[in-house]
Amino acid sequence: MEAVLKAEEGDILGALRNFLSKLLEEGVVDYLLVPVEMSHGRTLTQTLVKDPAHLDKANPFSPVMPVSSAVIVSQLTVDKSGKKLGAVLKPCEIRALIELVKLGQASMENLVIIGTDCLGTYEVEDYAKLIDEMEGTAEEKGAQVLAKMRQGIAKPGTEPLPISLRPACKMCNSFTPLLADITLGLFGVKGGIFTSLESELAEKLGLKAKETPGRQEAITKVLDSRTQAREQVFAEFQGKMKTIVDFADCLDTCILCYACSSACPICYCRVCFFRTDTFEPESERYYRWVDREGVLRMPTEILLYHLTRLNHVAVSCCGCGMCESACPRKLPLTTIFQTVGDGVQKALNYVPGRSLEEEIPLATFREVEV
Amino acid sequence: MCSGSIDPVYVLKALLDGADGVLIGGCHLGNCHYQDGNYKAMRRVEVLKNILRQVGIDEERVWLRWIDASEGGLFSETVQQMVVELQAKGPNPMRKPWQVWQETVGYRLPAVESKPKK
Repeated sequence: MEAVLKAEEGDILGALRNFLSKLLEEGVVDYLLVPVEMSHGRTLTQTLVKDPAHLDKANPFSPVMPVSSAVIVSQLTVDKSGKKLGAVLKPCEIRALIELVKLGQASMENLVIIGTDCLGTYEVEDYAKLIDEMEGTAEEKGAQVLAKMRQGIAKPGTEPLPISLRPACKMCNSFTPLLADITLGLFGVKGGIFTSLESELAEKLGLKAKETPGRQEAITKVLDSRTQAREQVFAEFQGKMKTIVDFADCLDTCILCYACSSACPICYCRVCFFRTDTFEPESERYYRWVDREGVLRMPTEILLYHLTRLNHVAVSCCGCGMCESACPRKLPLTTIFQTVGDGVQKALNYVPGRSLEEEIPLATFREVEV
Repeated sequence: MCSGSIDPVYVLKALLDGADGVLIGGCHLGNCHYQDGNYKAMRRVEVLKNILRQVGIDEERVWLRWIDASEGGLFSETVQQMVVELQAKGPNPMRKPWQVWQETVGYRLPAVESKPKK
C-alpha cells in the first residue's frame, strides 16, 4: 500500500523521525539501524537504536555515506540472532546487502529493510566543509541541505549544492529501493514523504492509502539524465582502454593501501590474500626478476591486485563507489568497477541486488552454457 | 587441483609476470568428481576473459580446455596448437612490465608542460 507521511510545516525530518519512532513503539522492529547526525552536523554515523528517544537526530536522507551500512547489517545478522532488526538503508546499500545475503555473509531472517530514496551523496570531507561554511545550528543546516536537495530533484543533471556529488552518485541509475519492506521516498511528493509498505503494517501504524501520482515521472526524469551520464562515462573509459598500458595508466599512483577493499561492501573476505605473504616472496625473487629485466617497478603487485579484485567483485558490484571515496589517491575506481562490472553483468544477464532468488552467476551453472 | 578451484588470481599472476599464455585443463563436462567443478571453472574463466578484454589484455592468451588425465595425446596436441597460436601473437607485452608502466601518461596527474631546450 502506498501512503504519504505528512510533514507538519514542511518538517520532513520530523515526520521521518516520528515514523521511525512508531516502528519501535509499535514493536514492528525491536532495534533500528539508522544514520544519525553528529551534534556538529558535519557528518553522520550509523547507530543501533533501541530507545526511540535517540532518534531525534536520525537523518537517513542526509547526503553523506561514510560507510556502506550493508557491512554493518552483515555484522548484525550473519550469525542469525533472529532479533527483529529494522535497517534504514540507501538503495546501493540494499543492493550490496542482497549480494551479501546470497554470498552467505548476512541473513534476512526477521530483518525489516527500510529503504530510502537517495538524492545523491557527497564526499565526507566536502560535506563537512560545506556545513562549516553554513550559518545556523546543526539542525537548521541539515534541514536546509535537505530542502536544497529536494528542490534539485526537478533539475536533474545539476548540482543542488555548491559541492560536487560523488562520481558514483552522478552516474547512479538505481536511486530508489528495489527490494525493501518499507520504502521512504522523496521523489515526486510535496509536503511529506512517500511510503510504500504492506497494508497490514500500514493499518497498524495508522496510515491511510494515498497515491503519489507525480512520483514515477520525477524518477524517470532523473533516471534519463543519470543514464546519459553513465553511458558517457562508460564510452569514455571504453574508448581509452586499448592495451594494458591504458589500464595501468589509471592505476599508476596506487599505493596498495587496500582502502578500496576495506570500504567495498562486497569484498567480504576476513583476510584478503593480498594482505598475507602469498605474493610477498623472499627478497631473492625480486633480485632474480630484476636480473632478468634490468629494472623492476616496486611495488610489483598493483595490476595484479586491482585485476583480481575486479574478478572477485565485478559480478556483484552494485556501484556504491565507496572504493573511490576511500582511495587516498582518488584513482578512478568507480569508473573502472562500474564499466567493467556492467560489461560482465550484461554478459551474464545478471543485475546485482535485483532479486534474492536469482543466484550469483559464479555460484551456479546451466547445463547448456552461453 | 580441480579446475573449479582455480582462482583467477593465479592466471592473472602468470599473465602479468609475462607468460605468453595460460592453459587451464579440466575434466570433461559431466565427468567432474565434484559434480560441477568444471562448470564453475567455465563461468569463472568466462568472467576473467570478459574482464581481460575490457582492460586491454588479449583474452585469447587464456585457454580453457577439457582434457582427461588419461588423454596424453590430446594434451600434447592442445599444447602444440597453443604454442603455434601464441607464436603468431608474439610476446605478451607484460614481458617488459617496466616499459608498460613507463608508457603511461599519468592519468589525472597534472600535465607537465614541456619547455623547449635552449
